Amino acid sequence: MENLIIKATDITPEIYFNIADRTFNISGESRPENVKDFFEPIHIWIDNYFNNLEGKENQIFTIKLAYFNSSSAKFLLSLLKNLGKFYQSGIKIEVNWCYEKDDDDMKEAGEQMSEMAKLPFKFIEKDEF
Amino acid sequence: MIRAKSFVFKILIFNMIIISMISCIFAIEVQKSDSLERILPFKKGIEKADLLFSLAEEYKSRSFNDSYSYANQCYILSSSLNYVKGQANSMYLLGVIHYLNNDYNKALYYWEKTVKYRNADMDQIGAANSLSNIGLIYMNTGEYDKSIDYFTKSLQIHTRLKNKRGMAKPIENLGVVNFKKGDYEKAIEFYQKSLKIEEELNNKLGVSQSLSSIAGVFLKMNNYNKALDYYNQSLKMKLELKDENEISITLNSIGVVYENTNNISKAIEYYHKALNYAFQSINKQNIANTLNNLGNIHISEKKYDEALNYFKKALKINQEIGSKEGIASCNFHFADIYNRKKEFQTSLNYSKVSLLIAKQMGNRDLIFKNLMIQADIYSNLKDFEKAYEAISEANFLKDSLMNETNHKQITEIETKYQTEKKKKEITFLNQQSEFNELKLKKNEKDIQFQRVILYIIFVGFILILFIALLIYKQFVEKKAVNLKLEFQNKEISNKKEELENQKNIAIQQRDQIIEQKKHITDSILYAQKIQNAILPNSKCITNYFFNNFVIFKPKDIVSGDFYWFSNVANDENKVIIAAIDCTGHGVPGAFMSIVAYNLLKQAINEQKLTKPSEILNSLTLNLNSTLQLSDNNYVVMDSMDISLCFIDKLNLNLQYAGAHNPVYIIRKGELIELKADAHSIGEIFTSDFTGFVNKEIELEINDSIYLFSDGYVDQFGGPNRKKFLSRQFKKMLIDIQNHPMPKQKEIIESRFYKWKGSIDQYDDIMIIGLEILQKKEHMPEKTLLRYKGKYHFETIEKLINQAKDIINEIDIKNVIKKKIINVLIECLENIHKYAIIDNENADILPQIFLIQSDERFYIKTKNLIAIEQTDILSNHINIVNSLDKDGLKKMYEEIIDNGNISEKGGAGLGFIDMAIKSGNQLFYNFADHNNKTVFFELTVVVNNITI
Repeated sequence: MENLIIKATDITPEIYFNIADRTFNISGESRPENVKDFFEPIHIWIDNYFNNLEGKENQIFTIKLAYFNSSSAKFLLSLLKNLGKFYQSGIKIEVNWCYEKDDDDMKEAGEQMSEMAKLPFKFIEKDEF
Repeated sequence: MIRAKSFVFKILIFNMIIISMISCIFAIEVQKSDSLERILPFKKGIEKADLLFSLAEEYKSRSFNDSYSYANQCYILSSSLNYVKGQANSMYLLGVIHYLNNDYNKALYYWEKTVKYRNADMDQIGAANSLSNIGLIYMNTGEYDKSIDYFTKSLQIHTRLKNKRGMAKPIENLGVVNFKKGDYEKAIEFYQKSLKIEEELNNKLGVSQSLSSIAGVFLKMNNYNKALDYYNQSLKMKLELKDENEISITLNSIGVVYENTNNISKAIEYYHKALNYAFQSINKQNIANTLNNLGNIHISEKKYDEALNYFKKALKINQEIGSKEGIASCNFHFADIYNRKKEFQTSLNYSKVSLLIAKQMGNRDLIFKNLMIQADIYSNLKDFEKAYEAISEANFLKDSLMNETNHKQITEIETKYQTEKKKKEITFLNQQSEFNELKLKKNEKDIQFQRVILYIIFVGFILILFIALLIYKQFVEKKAVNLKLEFQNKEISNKKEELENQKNIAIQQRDQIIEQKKHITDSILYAQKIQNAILPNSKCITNYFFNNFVIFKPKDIVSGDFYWFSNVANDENKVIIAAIDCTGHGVPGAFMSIVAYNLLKQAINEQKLTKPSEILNSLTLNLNSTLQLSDNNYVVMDSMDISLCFIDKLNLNLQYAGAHNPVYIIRKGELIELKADAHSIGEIFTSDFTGFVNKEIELEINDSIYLFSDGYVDQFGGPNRKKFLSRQFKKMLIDIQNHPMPKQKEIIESRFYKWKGSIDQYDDIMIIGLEILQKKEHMPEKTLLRYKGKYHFETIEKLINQAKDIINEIDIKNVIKKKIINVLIECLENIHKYAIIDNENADILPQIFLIQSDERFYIKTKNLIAIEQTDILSNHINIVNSLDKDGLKKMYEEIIDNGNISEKGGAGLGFIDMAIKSGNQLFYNFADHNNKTVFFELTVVVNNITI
């Protein structure tokens, strides 16, 4: 299986999924013109990866979004719910939800997502974004 | 039968007096505010247990389940804390609610436990009170001796502790239980004691009630002079106390005394007096009772039409207070009167109604009376089969009824016998000592005496033998009769089966009614949602008046009161605010409020009126045409009172016009009242009243302005069950001026609950308070970004980058910058997804503004949409505006989790996001374009402060 790497644009985040390190980063802004087209391949990749996963190491997701629009929210949630499902099945998944200092909106959005996806997040405040 | 009926009724009245007395004896504590629930999550440990107890207490007479749940939680928590008082409190309350629910076994269980815990807590007074409560249970289950034991124990403890106030209750209860037992002398003895204690405590109401109780016993003993004497003493005190409710009860009782002495004219006179006072007090039950008495007395005077009138009035009141027993009883009286007037069919109809209700309630006495009257009617109508059915059903009931009365009579006789026996024992003992002396002196006579005794025994034996023979003979005869009866019984049981079927049908109908009731409640709850949508959001007012409150308390689920708030011509300094009170409350009131809302909307939003008097005039004219008042067939019933202000914050000016409802302005501790015109909206203009008057006043900084409906001042309550009244209301407002508005709201609300105590809320309540605050240095609005032009997806990108650049130049917090950009993105995306865009037609191209004022940023957009979209859109935004942050989050979650989101996103998620991020209400407007499309204007406000 290959790493999944999508470069950032003004309206889509960077995707950097590295199998060897077991680190999976999503960062930037998310407000694609067609949300489904952007998120669907990522969703499929994650499904494939976890369904064929053999090791028992920690899988580390880092989500560092400066902004995501309301239509991205649905797809982001569905992606996180999928992770939640794998997490509930016993796979060790760590999620770091980064937000800019004082950005309570983003922090609260993370708390909401974590609860809905049944997946614990670690919240990390960053000075610079 | 006539006499018997009115006799039964008098007993009923009498019992009611007793019952009301018992409920007075039973400790009822003051209700506490709903706000308790809000602070619950912040309390811990013993404090929390106490709060749970207060909540359980608060709900005890309103909701069994809520009270039960809080009391249980209190018990569990207290047990884990080893907090004995909490355990005792919760046990006590569980007892109370089961007692109120007539579940005496459970109440007994809890109160016995209460006694244990109170003792463990060294709370002797508490234990004594619980013992007295247990006494009440036994009194209600007819176990009078046990009941006396418990009252006595309670009394002993209070006496030992020299707790006079505590002694009063068990003593009075001992009076009641002895009265019930039929031991009238003892009852009087205890009532006299309680009279003495109440006198010592200087509790005038208690004294007057004790006097009435004594009078009641004399009435029962047919000692009318004494009864009258005591009732008059009691009346005198009650008149001094000016307690209309109590006065009316006593006048009624005096009427009963006169009726019993056949002094009919006096009786009627007193009933009328009682009626007058009953009307002055708010106890409708009392009015109904008095009307009933008047009806009855007119029946026995054969003045049927007058009697009918009284019962009609009584029926109306019983319907108002929802007294099923009263309604059934009035219908029975109608049946009785029409039967006497030989209008049999009418009579039958009324009796059927009465019977149906009586069966629903399981009121056997009324069922029996109705069956008897129906048998009478049917035989008058020559329908003997039906007459037979009714009478056999009545006979079936009679047995069980007789058993009850017999049981009562037997206890009464037994008590009398016991008292007599004791007296005799005493005389016998006296005789015996004399006899002993005689015995010593006259031994010979003694032998003779023994002989006499032997004779007596012998004669006695013969007599017994004779009686036994007689009984045997009767037995043989009875056996023959029984055979005959058995045959008849079979016939009756066939009829019984038929009746059983009818009963099943009745049960089915009852279930149907329950089902219907559920439907109705559901639709009212839905109506509440609709009504909430027309109310402006409190956030909306806060945008204009930072320091404000709104109290909105419907009496029922939906309300006849509502309020209006809107700004004028998008000028944030000019607002129109109104408090509207439509006639009635509940569903009729709510219907009127929707009519009123639409008329206001028409006057303010469409006619663009701003002068308060003109708005009110317009309302009057349009309401008349809506309800077709010009048509003389319609009586002016539905109207509304209103106080309406136009406030210009910039120029510190207030204009006002009012229909019955004034507006108060409090300036430096002085209250200025702008008086309303004494004319309701809905009353037709006449030559005397040609229109509403506009009043104007200059405002000053820190003026507080209050608009309200009359629900608060009209609430009955306080120690004498009086209205709260404007005078007290004004004083309260002046007194709370040093508090900010939200705190004022708390005080006004808690004062209300304290005032009304256990009395029901009387009408819908609405109060709005606003403070005029010092204006900040006004910075002219500055347009940071303006765009009108062709629109593609790329336009969003371009505008956002521009906006980011501009905002980065401004000295505001990063968080605010983010919020502005986030809202802007959602706005722009919405235009991209939903607007009708024709890049070739310059007139309809979308417009976007980003405007900065000193304390907020405005993101405004204007774009064309299809006319069919307006309803969905306005409905959706109204819902969003009605939700608080948690509500918005919940809705957001629901939509992203389950919502039917197209590839575009959608389902209104953008609006929710804007409302969450901006923390403000969304302002919108539709401007006409052509018959297929309209312009949709949206303004989102982001405050330049973070909390």
